[in-house]
Amino acid sequence: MDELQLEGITKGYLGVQALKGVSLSVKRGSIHALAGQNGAGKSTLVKILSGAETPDGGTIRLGGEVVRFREPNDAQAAGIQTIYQELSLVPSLSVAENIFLGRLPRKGGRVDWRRMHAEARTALARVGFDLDVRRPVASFSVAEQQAVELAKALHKDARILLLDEPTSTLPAPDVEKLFAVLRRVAAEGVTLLYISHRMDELYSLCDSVTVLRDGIAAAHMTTADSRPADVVTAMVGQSLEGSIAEAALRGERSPRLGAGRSDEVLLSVRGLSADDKVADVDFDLYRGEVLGITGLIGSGQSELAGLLAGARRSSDGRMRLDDKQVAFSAPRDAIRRGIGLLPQDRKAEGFIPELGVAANISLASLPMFSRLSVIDGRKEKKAAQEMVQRMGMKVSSVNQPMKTLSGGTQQKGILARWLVRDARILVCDEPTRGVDVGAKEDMYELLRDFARGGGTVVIASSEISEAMMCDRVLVMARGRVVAEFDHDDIDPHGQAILQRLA
Amino acid sequence: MSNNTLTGPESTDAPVATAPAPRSAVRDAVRRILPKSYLLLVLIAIIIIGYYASADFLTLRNAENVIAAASIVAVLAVGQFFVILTGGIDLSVGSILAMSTVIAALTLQAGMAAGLSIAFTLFCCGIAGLINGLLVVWLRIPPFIATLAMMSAVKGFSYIIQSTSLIQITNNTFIDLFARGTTLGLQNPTLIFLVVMIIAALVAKFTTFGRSLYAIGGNPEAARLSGLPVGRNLIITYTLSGLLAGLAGLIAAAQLRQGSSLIGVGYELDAIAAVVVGGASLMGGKGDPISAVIGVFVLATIINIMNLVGISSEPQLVIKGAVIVIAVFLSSAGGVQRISGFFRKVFGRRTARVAG
Repeated sequence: MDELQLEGITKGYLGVQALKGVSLSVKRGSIHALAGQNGAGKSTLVKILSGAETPDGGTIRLGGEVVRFREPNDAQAAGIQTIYQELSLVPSLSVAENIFLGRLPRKGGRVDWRRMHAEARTALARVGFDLDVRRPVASFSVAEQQAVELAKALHKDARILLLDEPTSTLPAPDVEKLFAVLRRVAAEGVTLLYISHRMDELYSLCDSVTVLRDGIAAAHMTTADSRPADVVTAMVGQSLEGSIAEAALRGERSPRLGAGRSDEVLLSVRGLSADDKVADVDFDLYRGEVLGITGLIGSGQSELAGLLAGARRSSDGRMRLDDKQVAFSAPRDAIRRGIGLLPQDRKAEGFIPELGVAANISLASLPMFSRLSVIDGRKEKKAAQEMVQRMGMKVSSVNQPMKTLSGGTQQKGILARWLVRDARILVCDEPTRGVDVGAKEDMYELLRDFARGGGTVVIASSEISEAMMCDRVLVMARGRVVAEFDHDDIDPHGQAILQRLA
Repeated sequence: MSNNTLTGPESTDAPVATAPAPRSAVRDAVRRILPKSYLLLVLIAIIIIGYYASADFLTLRNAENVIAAASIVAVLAVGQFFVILTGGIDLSVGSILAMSTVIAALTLQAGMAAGLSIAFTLFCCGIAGLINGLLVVWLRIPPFIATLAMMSAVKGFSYIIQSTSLIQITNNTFIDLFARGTTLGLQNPTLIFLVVMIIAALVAKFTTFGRSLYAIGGNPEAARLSGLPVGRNLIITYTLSGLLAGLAGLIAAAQLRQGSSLIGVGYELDAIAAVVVGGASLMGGKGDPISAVIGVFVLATIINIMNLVGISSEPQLVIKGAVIVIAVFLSSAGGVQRISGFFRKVFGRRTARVAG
């Protein structure tokens, strides 16, 4: 029997119809994937299922019975637990307290610590982890925190588990471990709804897929008799045959982003260190190349990117740009020398949510768009419109607030900030994280254009397929560069890189 | 949210704006600095209520009184607005205002020329604001704490230099300039706050400085990573707030014809209340200076009406509190949408039932 059935779910926001009648059904104990580009309606559907939003129309059936959620508590009481991309744990509380948050077991008016700790250990054991449940959550790794989150959700008698991109912050070996846990949970009869942008994950974990596009369920398929390319095709609404995404999906050699390096050293780094995050890094960056820096999450590639762009301070080491010694004490210093940063966390570091697209694009080059510090609105608008067109950004006007755009469009806006400034070096920290397939390909195309036009790109990425597209790849582990590969020396599956990661 | 723009007061002349006018640039500029909120309607509604509540309300004399009293807080509110725009807060403006009256009175008493006395007073108040900025930027003390400390320190400093209970101001040039005199048919205090407000609105909307304050308040890390001079602009903002508090103090000193450290108690909270009533968010990144000044007048007009109909000062405070909550709910907490959404739901259901 179908555990979860949605029929004709609709939801509209001011002026936008996010869901136009979505129907789907999921069998008990199966793992069902929700796929779709940003803005396709995935997150709205998750919000409706988790009770954070109420649908305008349609019915939700849980085990055959019609249910209505007015707030998240209703959904949780009915057995629908949600694990969001950003973990919702309280860092300073202990593991056990987090698992029992809001429902601490009591005995005689006091918290029954013994029972709580014992049950917390059992809950963790169910997801295959053994942690000291009395230690604060903040002292554990991301993977362990995720296990705590999972244990917390399951402990609340979950019938249905919603997982919104649970692997986006997880190192690769832990992803397999998470999947093993999820398969076991499903075998116990819990129904899983899994959301991810990563096709390989989706096909290794899930039984069936529903593809959302423009607020409708564009396709339903089982993973047994479909290919990742079918899902991607349904998501984008056009065939991606021969494109980068398709090639990457088939595991073929990744198309190259750069045109190859020149012999001219643009930036030379020697002995660069920052606290214990980056240790004694040496490399040369050649003009016109696309340099990948890869490693498992937390290996220091992100911190190294920050150092190159002046966003972090180095504790030791030297950098020479154009054969001149440079020391960046603030991003301003790097920007002045033509280095721009695409930060990893768009929302927290990338853009100003309330300001419009044009204002976000001109943010790093206000002097260019002003005379005697009065902003030339017309010039700014014109430059922004050119950028919007060149980058294919989906906006209603250049004054549309940045916060209302999709992740991919926001990322393009931040890239436009540096293009409008004619930056020489782009430092991209996880440039396609949380970006849908279509926008991801656009980003690669834009970076390729930039490199073709003589620009130099550094891409720090924990996705090997992305690093493999670069002219040259530095592999980092525990803050050090442990290997360097030329594009042509990397095997199609990136085994050479993989072996150096751990 | 920006939904207000769809149905806000200025949308009534939208059809006119669609016609291509030769002076559209000017009109566009004017429209862009005008506040996009229901606040102006609220103010008009209050004025209509006042008209019916008291025969004395809509007289020139009463209007002058309201504006004279409100002009002080209006100048404070403009400075406070910029600080709040960056996500900070300035609790020291009331004390700086008091210090301003004391320094002006002392220097005038010592026989200093009015112009020099004004310049010296503003300089001192600017320094106080600068110290606020340095505490926030260099020592990284949270704005609430830094300006709370300054509020206390400046107040103590004023007591010390004042030494007597109050100092009379007799310099006629000074009093004319900041209280009695008129220019272009407007009382000088009115003119001062109007000029301050308009300059502030232009700065906020059209300059790189204003833009960077919106950016800093909206997302400080993104502003830093985009190379904006975050620290410098914060220091300028706090200095500006100090300077404007000093200017407000000069108006207060001239109106009261005295300098005293007891003037301006609680004004910082009036200014903050006005700014949030004007739709700014204490989280920063939102609002505009004209709305902040309208916020001042919403509160001042209500107080005035209550005075005229003879409500004593204690219930006035209660009503003022309620007004702040209602105004903030309507202007920035999305109250208008929520109320209209509620009605749509109720009426939508009813029509559906009729149709069915």
